[in-house]
Amino acid sequence: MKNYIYLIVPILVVLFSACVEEFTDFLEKPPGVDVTEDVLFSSRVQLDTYIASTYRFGIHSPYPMDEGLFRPNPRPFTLNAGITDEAESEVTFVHTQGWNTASINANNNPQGGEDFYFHVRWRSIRNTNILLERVDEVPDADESYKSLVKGEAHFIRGLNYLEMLKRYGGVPIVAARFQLTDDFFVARNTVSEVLDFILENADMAIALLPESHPSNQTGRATKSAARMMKSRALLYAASPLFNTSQPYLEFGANNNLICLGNEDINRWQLAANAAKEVIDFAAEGGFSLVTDRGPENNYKYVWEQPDNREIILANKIAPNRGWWQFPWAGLVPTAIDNSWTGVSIIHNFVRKYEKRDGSPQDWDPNGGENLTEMYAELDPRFAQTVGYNGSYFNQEHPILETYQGGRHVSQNVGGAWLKKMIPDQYCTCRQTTPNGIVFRLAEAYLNFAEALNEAQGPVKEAYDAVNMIRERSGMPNLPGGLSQDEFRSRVRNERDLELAFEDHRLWDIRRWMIAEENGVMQGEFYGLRIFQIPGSTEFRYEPYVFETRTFNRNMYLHPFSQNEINKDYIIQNPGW
Amino acid sequence: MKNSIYIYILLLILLIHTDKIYGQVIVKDTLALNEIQPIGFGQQPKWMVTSSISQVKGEELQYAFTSNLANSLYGRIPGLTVMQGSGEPGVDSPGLFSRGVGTFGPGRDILVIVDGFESSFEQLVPAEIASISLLKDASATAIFGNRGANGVLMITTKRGHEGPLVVNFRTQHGFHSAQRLPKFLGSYDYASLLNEGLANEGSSPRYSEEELENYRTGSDPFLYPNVNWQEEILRNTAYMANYNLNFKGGNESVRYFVLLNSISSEGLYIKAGDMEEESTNSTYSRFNFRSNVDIDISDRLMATLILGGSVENKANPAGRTTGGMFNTLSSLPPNSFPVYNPDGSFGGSSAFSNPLGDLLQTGSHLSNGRTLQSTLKLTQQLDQIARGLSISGAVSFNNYFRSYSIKSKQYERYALSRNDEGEDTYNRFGQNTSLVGSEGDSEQWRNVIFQGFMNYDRTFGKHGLNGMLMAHSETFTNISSETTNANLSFPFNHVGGGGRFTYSNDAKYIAEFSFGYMGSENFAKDSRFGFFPAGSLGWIVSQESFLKNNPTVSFLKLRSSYGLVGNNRISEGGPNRFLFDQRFPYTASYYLGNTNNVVSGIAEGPLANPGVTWEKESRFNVGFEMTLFDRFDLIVDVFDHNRFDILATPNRTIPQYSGVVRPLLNEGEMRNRGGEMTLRYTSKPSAKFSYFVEANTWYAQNEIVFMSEQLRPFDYQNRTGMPLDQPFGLRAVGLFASQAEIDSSPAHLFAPVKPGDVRYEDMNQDGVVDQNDVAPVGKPGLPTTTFSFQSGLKFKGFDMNFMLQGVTGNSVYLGGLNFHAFQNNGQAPAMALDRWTPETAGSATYPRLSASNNLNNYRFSSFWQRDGTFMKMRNLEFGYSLSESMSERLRITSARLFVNGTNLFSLDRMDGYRDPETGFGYPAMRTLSLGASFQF
Repeated sequence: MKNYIYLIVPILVVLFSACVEEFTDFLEKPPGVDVTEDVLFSSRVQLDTYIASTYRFGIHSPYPMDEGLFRPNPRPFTLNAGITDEAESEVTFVHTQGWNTASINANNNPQGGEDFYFHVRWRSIRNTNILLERVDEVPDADESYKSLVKGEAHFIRGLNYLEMLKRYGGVPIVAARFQLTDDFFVARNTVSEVLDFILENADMAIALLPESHPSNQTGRATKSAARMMKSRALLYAASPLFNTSQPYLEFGANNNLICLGNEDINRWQLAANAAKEVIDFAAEGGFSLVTDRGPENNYKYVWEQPDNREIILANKIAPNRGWWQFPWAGLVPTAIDNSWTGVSIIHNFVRKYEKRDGSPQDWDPNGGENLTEMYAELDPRFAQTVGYNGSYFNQEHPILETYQGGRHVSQNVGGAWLKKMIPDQYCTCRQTTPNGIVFRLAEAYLNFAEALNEAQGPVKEAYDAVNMIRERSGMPNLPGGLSQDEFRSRVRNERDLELAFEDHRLWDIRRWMIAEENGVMQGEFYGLRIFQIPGSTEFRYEPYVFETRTFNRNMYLHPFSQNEINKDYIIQNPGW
Repeated sequence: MKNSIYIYILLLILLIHTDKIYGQVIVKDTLALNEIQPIGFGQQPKWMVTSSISQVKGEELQYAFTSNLANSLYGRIPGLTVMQGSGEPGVDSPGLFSRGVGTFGPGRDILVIVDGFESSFEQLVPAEIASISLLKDASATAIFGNRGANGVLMITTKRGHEGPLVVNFRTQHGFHSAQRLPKFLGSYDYASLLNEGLANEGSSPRYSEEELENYRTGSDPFLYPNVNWQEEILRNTAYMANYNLNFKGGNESVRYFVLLNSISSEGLYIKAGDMEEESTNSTYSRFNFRSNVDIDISDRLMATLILGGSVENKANPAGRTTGGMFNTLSSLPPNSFPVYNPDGSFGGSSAFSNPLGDLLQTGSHLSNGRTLQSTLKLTQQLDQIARGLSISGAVSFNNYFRSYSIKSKQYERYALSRNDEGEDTYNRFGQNTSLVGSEGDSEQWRNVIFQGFMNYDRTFGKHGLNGMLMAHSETFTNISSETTNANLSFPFNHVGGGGRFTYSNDAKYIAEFSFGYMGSENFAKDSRFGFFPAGSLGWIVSQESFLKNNPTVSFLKLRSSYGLVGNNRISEGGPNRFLFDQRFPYTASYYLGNTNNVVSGIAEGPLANPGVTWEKESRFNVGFEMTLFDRFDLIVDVFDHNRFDILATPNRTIPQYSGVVRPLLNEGEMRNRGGEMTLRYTSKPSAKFSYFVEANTWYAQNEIVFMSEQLRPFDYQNRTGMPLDQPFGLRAVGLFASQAEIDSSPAHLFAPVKPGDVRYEDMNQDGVVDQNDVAPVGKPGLPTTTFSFQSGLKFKGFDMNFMLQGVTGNSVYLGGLNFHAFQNNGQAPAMALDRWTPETAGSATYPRLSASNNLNNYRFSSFWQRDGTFMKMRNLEFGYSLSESMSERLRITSARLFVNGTNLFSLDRMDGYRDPETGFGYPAMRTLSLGASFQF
């Protein structure tokens, strides 16, 4: 028996080495249900799920959307229009109020809640960097698929930098993904570097993307979308806010973080060329202006009908939303459906509409007794934009009553409600698709006209471009012989009306640096009080100042969130 | 078979079994402290222990009459903070914390080891417990590797002994009743105060003078009901009984301890099952059994078989637990509706169902739970290889399973109103349905543990050498029918080992080194295993010649330890499991095409942390044990624990432009300091009148050192530097006395304020009181200090024992339904009678009433905080034992009759409005009982 004892040591040694192996297996994570990055890049089908989330993160709707999952910051509940001379939000708890009173700051509701996508933009940029890094590994991807994915990645990356350029000026350029072990420090790049990065991405995207997609794939980026991005980027770069040696506030050695550092008129020519390129190649992708619905309907069809041929790119994160959901809850007045907030169109905006003969409307500052008549004389786009007293809103509210004592006047300061963005389809009886236009062809014509006028003066091509837009809405051509300044103010007005409520105005005001003009983002803002006239179908109107707004010069660019500044990587914009 | 190694060890033990015997087991120096102290995976004589361990004997736990063993631990184990929870039988687990809490991470639970294996212990009964030990310092817990940092509670069950059969029988019967129930106003007061609240808001009264008069006189109990629902639903007392029978004995080769126990406890609900057969009485019962057997198979081979189990049944009408019902009792105004309408139907309203109807007419919730603990351990002496050497192998299966059987239905109740013609009309709510059964719910945990040991224990002259090496593997599964996350259903696995080497010199100087080496599945492949060493030193000063035979100092030992322990429970709740893997848990879909076809999108989750690791804690402990005059004991321990590598979100370092969802990094640090002290005086055991008195106190204060906290606008808002779970709220500075005071004070922005509203401090002095003025108020809920005082005495056949336990250093919040009048259309507490009115402005202790939700007064603030200090009489027992002659005449060894009170009273600062520990739901219970025990 005793002999066994001598076996113990070798047996133990063998067993010990055996069990080291076993222990390792024992602690292995079981095959699970988790998706890994390798899985995402294992096939086209898998990669499509990652591309979908990249679009979701990277293409942002002009509508106030409720993106709970991606929302670390306070979100806007309504349109940015309420920051500008377009509108006033029905309630004061939304982000626009902080801008109107110039009380936004870097600590509380950074950017006044306007840029709640800030973190999501960076997530989309991370996605695009990972896509560019690994798409070549996808085994079943052919060249056309790879170039599509790369083109989309470049496009979305550029678009998000453009969104940040217009808000913050220079931001850090992150062109590769961060690993946990990396040094996270990237200083803010200059406006010029960010602009070049956007253009570089735009050119790559133009080269790689297809001209168009089959009808079951609309919503994906195209060459035209990339050209539009380039056009808008160059237009913004050429505008006074950036195209200067002297920024809106002195920032010393950091001036180039908030402007381009010199004034160069040639930037306008580049912007004009880029816009021309969009117009010239639009037909290749099947894009054209909508002109066949009649002057009273062309304009409305464009903003109401998803995927119409004028839309170059739209956000498509929400096919159907009920009346109680965003965006509708942030657009439709509580007097109509008891939601969060409506958007009241103010008199400052209505005043901009010309009469159908092209002359200005004679609004009497002391009021008048012919409101319905005055409205009827306006540019056909007025009726396709404004929910005015007596107009059709939807099947449940066929006649809007914004007169004092009317059914829809509660909390309305401007005299009218927003109709554009809210399709006739909308009602509490069904869910409605928001048509979140990011780029449409009309913008290219207006970009072109504006840039060309700045570069060369009011030449014929500039006239033609504006007149294209006016004509399809039944408005006469601009009068000939305008000076450069006159043409500038006409084309700016045209842009204001045509692109109203599509989230252009705030950025246009800032790039033109006109915020401090009375009634733009500062000074007196007018609404209309409307009264029934007994025994008559006419209404009496009475302009009044509903609000005096404040604008501080630091508001020409957004503040970064103080939390981000505190991390010591990026420096704050001046004045915050 | 992954665990084949252990089976080999078991086989090996059998294989090398030989007949040869070497020497004798070492006989220790005859110190007074030769008693055996269980330590992690072993035991030591008490004098040799250089770790910080507190212990309670099973006998002491019998003084508390409770169906949950953890509820017998109040004040018993220095260093163990026990926080009483609900009093509901079967779900009355208290919170257990060893030396407070050392982490702000989610894994704060103490590790519970029963007879050497992780298991549950609350279902055990005191009669089967030999001792419960709390392992506190690094030296005691390092051997548990990455699992010991929250302290280890080690339960040792009773074993047989060599000797004749001893039979014990004990039975105890009593009644328990609620210590305190929330106090609410009757209908008249409720209605008057509601009118006052409405008037304060400028609204017209809801009740007319005539209606108030009707409430006051109670002349029409149907239209003007005044129902005390607590009285309708709850009984004053409920019966509780326990029977215990155990056998103990053995001979040279077999020793056994066998136990049977049955405990039953009724709930506080009225006997709904007796009134309505589709309902059930509220009951809890449990049957325990245990069979611990030691067998000497040969001179050198010993087998230990441990088998313990329990079967429990719980029944409740109207819900699995009573939480929902107590919530209704807290919110239902007394005048809402009568119990029964004049036509015999249940009263009810659109907002509330009828609590009695709920009990009688919504079916029953039964559950049946089983626990099984089973262990086989073989030990082989290997003196033929080296004297004092032995090896052991053990396998243990422990599991718990509970299944639910639910029968549910709905019922009709009617709101009564009287129309102008004086006719009663009824408005129906709900509808009658028949019983529907549901058997699908269950929950379970189970583990399989293998252990192998090699022990060496030998003395060379003055030199004592003990060595132990062990290997351990465990797989633990915890799932329920509600588990949907696959990552949670995967077993939790541990594998590793440990060792302990103790050297003693002349029973005077002791040095010990121990370590744990453990890996678990929750970490990346290359960083799964951690090494946790600890060292300790002891010096028995009283063995030195200068103190030996000293008449004053009978015993004095100084000891100290330092080491590293770990906590791998960083993923309680699931989402943080497998943090080393990059997860893509989010869906972020997009819609393409003119028909908006969904393309489901997948998005990246928090950035993976490939190097994720367990929490670590360095522990320093110093203490001494002293006995004076053989009668007076003093034990003191002081500790300093520093936890680090706690998972924290890097709020300060990772910029948003990185585009990542911030990961959890091992960055957090927390410090925890304190100590324990025991003072005890024991009379001579031979004295006719023998007694002991013992006082204990222990203290632990933690502090968050670093948690990567986001930068806050004002310093006082920082959590860093504060104790864990420090409440943050507004600082109340009384009630506004007048409009003039309001006008001259910072503007309170939460709501328009009026005289009688709570006034808050403007912390940042910016002229307004808003959310930015939220600052630390009061203290956390976990007390820093526990103290206990216990004493026992014996005189002839009579004996007495009591325990007072108390805590201090914590705050209690008087909030929610039970305290905030009329909020969320609820009822009004009795304390609202002391409200502010212009007349009572000087003496008011409750703010101005508001009929609707008041956003200023009922904010979380120091106004509603109370000092949580209390002292509770945990148990008091008087007994009488029959004299020997009497016992002999009855042919029994001994007999004792006793009367016991458990949780008799509480002295605290709650003014009787609530229990300082159990604030909501099923109340804390007081138990009075009679019992008898016999030994044969």
